[in-house]
Amino acid sequence: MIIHFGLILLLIVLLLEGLFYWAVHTYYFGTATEALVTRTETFTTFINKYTADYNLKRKTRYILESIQPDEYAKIEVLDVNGKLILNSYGFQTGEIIRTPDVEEALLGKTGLYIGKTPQSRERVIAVSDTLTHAGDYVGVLRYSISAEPLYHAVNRIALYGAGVGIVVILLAMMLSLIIAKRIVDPIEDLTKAAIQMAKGNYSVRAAKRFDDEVGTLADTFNYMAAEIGKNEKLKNDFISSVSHELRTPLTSIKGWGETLISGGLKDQEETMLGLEVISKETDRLIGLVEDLLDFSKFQSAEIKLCQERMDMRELLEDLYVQFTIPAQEKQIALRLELPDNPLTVMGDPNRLKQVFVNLLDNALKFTPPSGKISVSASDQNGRLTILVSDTGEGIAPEDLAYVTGKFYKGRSKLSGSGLGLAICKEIVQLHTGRFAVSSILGKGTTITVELPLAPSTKKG
Amino acid sequence: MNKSWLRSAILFALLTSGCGLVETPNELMRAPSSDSDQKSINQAIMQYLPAGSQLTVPLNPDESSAVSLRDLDADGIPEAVAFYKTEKNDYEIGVLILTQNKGHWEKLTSFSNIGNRLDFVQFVDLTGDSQLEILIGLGGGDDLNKELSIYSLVQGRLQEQMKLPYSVLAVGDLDQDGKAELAVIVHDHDKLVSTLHLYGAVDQKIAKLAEQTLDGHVNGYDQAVIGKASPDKNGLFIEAGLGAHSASTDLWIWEDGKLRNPLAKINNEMELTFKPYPLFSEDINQDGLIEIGIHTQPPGTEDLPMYAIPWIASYFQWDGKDGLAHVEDHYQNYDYGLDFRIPDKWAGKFTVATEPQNEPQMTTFYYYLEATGEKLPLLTLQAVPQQEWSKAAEKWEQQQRSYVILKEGGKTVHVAIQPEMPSKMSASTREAYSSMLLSTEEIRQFYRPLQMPL
Repeated sequence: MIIHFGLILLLIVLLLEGLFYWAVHTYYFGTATEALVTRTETFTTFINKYTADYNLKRKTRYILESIQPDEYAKIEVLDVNGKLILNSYGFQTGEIIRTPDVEEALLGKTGLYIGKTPQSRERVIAVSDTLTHAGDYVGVLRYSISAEPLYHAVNRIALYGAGVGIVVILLAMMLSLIIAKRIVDPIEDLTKAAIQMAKGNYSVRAAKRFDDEVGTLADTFNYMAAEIGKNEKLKNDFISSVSHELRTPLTSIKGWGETLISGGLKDQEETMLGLEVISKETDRLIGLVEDLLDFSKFQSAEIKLCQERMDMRELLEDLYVQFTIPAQEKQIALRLELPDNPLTVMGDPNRLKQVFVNLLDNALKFTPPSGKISVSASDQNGRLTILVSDTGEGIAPEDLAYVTGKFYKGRSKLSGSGLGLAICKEIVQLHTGRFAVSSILGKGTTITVELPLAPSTKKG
Repeated sequence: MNKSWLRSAILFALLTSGCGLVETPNELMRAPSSDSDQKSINQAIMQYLPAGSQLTVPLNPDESSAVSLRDLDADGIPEAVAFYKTEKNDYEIGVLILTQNKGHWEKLTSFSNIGNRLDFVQFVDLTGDSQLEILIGLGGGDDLNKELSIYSLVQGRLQEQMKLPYSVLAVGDLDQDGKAELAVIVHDHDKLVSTLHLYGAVDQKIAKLAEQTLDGHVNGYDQAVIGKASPDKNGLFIEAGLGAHSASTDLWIWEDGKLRNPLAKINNEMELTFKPYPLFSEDINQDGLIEIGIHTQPPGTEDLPMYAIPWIASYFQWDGKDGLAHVEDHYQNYDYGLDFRIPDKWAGKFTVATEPQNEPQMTTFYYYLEATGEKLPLLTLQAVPQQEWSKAAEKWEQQQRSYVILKEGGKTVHVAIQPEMPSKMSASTREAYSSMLLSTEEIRQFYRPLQMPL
């Protein structure tokens, strides 16, 4: 990446360098050429205008006598064959000059040539213009200067430019290395942490170096790691508790099985008791497994509700009857408060029954003897609110947020899959209802189930 | 072109780059160093010239320049001779001579002479001592009296050998002794007396070899040239202007220690070299001999006034006796600067016609049948003004005329147009006519731009 960046930078600097060279070259040569062309054209026009009657030789003499002593350019007068008649040094060498500028001038135009002369290796800028006599072309006036100092100056400036370019590239490379290090190093840390995590070590945390985007990513990553760690712990707890839950009835079944085998089924009373225990424990196992199946169905969203119009009062009354006996056995007062009007909802009766069985089971389980359990239902603004409250041991505030989570059992040592409330919540939510738990530790717990009432117009 | 943004950008770049490079392009403009010798000589000369002086160039001969390198003292190292005018005095021409001393140019001598026009300068050994003399001709202006001074370098100092008034002069080996002679022609306009003086070396001194009276009733003398008159004889060709516009050429040769004019008219005969307009002698065919030019009139133009006649410039060589031998003919148009050599196969069978009124730029050559006076077009030369050229070319393209472009640059385009074949001709005429037509290559070969005197 750094190499690519460096290449792009080099390319840009080279491009700018080229532009700079072009600009300097244009400026130097353009200015010099312009000055030379202007002088040549002005002088030629002057000569042609004011020495119109002079032949070339007399024009030449006039030109020579008009040359200023501080003239920097070399001035030459050529005849129509390009033969040198006289130069500004006063010499007539007779050499033939046919550079492109002279050719142009012989065609009546102002000719410009930048390049080497055939006579020397020196590069020159030469401008030629036509001398006329009686309207016809009789010769060429040629100004020339050396282009070498200009090339020299342009190259020198370009060299300075190249130096600046190199410094820019070096600085930019250094800066980009520093910036890249800031980005790359935290990412490498994250990568290392992710590898650790993939290996199952959820306790690793990526270091947050800078408060930038990568830092935020590290924070989020750490949060994710923490959550995964929690879930992992929950799962492990669940497996151990489920195993425990499964083992208890199995131990009981196995114990009675062996007792019955060794007893030889002679004592009929004992045999009956054993078989009853085995049957009860098997029921418990079935219940547990069904809970698990239910939950896995909820998880994979496979559950389907068989909804119908139903009166919640009937369901609650049935349950009241069902739970009166176990409550009396634990010396717990169970109360049911129902309004007179029907509480019709669209719902799956079996599932809703499952919810309240579960809730009442929990209430019974966690309420000490001589406690109270009350179930009340009311119609509020088109929604049915059912409260199941007990005077049980309550839930600690820090656990409250998790009790409806999966596999969460709180600190209770009582048996159970830890799935009950989670399943209840799922069912209520499937009915587009609301499930809430409020609790005060040591005082009791209230569970609120809100369900939408079926519109009464549909009745009948 | 507005380059101020560029200027400021570069200034900024220069400032930020932190270097002291502030040379502007104008400061970097200097002459090429390829002629550094000439430049250093020029600088040395300028250093010795009085303040405000300007170099000046002699008008004659063509090859002369303001600064010349000549070995005046015959020591193998050339001296530099420069001619200049001073600012404060318009009637004085200065001469500065520098000599080389251990690679430096040092002033040898300088002098000035009265005159405002440097007419002639030549370096030639007239004394026969193999040291060059300096011949300097000064004048007061056009057609005014001119005076020639001859200087020799003697022991590092210039000595004036002679001062001669002149109208025209020539330098060359007339007597074929291997040394140059000086021929001076003086024409006194008031007394109508003209004299030719011939000077040469006698005992390493300049002495008058001969004096010859010339026709004093001429308008003036325009040019004198010494060159080969015949393969074994040198001659002096003098151009004289006669009357309003006519002219003649005198040829003088050196024979038996005397000057002789082999073409001198006998009694009152028409002068052999008489011509209606001046036509200077020159080596027109590059054979080393000088030809005398005489205008001849093309047939069929007898009725035309003088100025309208399309004169043919015929060139003749001295035949070694008392006559002239024809060499070649040219059609020369000074208005349009074209020179067309008449092909040999046209000789005696052609004529030329122009239409000064209607088509002044057009000249047509014809096959001229003397018996009938019939004229069949052979070739048309035309000088087309540059701005009308494309139109003219288009016209010829439309007419499907074939033409040859002879010269493109300049004020006019010179073009030769092939004629349309005349319809009615007898077979023999057709044959003769066809043989006279020119191919494109021939046309190009015979044409040349007229060499204008510098």
